[in-house]
Amino acid sequence: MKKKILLIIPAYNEEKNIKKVYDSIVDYNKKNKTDYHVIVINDGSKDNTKEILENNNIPHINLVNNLGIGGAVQTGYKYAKEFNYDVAIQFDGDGQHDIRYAKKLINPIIDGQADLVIGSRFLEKDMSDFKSTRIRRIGINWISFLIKICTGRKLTDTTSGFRAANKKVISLFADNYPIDSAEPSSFVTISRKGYNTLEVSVSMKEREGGVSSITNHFWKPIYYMINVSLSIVITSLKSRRNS
Amino acid sequence: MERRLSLILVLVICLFILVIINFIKKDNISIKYSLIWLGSGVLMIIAIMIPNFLNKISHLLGFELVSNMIFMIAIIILLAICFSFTIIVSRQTQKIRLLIQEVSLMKSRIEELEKKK
Repeated sequence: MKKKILLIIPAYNEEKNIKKVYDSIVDYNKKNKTDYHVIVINDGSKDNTKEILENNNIPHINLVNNLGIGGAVQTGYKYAKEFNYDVAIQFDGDGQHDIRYAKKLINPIIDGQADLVIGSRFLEKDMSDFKSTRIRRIGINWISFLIKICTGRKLTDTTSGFRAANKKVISLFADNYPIDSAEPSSFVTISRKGYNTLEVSVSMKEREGGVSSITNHFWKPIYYMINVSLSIVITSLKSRRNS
Repeated sequence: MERRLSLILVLVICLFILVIINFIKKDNISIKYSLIWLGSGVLMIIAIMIPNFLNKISHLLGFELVSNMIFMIAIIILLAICFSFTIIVSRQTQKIRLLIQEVSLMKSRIEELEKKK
């Protein structure tokens, strides 16, 4: 049976990118005879994102109020659960992710090799033409180290928002998704539940427009690091059964 | 405490309680959250009305000054109330998030259905 695959694209003020991203997916579907569905979660954008989505007939959900990236992505998982998708992929609305790698993320799930697959920029050396500052690397290494201690699993690209989830994980994320530190602590939750995780190597482009959800204020990275560290530790303290 | 001062304090607290009751009447404060304020008001009145009560208690606990004890109790109670607000705010944030998500999902589904008609 053919698997139902959904791309969840959170978008906040992405009027410049969102059409390009959608077109690239439609184009890919045509060329490769794939049938990836798309749902754009418009997180209360203040620019023309909403009009662009409507005028171009891009499947979307307009959040009635701004929720932040975590809340938007979770809405996508709720949608995936409601419509019974087999695989849900988080995909950025700013053109950072390349649709050609989606297959690489989906395959291990279809083969039953993993429940959650994360696209990593740092798994292979030659893939990391993605420029990152030294401070950012230190941050990523620290979170990676914490996750290793708390779960015993290796996660090289802790903030990667390019991930694919199977039905079990979709259902879990739909009901329970850590909002402020979504990527790292949801990985901890998934590991604690005993689900299989897998990193595959992908390359990402520099963002073409829009701003990072982490680094747009000077105090934000500091707040983010503290928040994520705490949430990883607390998540790993939660008991396996009732969390 | 001097009689005149206690009388003024009791009057101020009574006014405070009346203001709260008025807010409840106008549905601006729910009874659930007003109880802690009403309760602390009544306790303050009792503490003031009983002669020498505060003096005795503070002496018993080892405070050098009655005011020290009152300030400490006040700070502890205020911290507890603030903390309970943090809990309430966090819970409400979660509920609001769920509402926004469900309403948005439903809205887009309704629009979808209307387009098909």
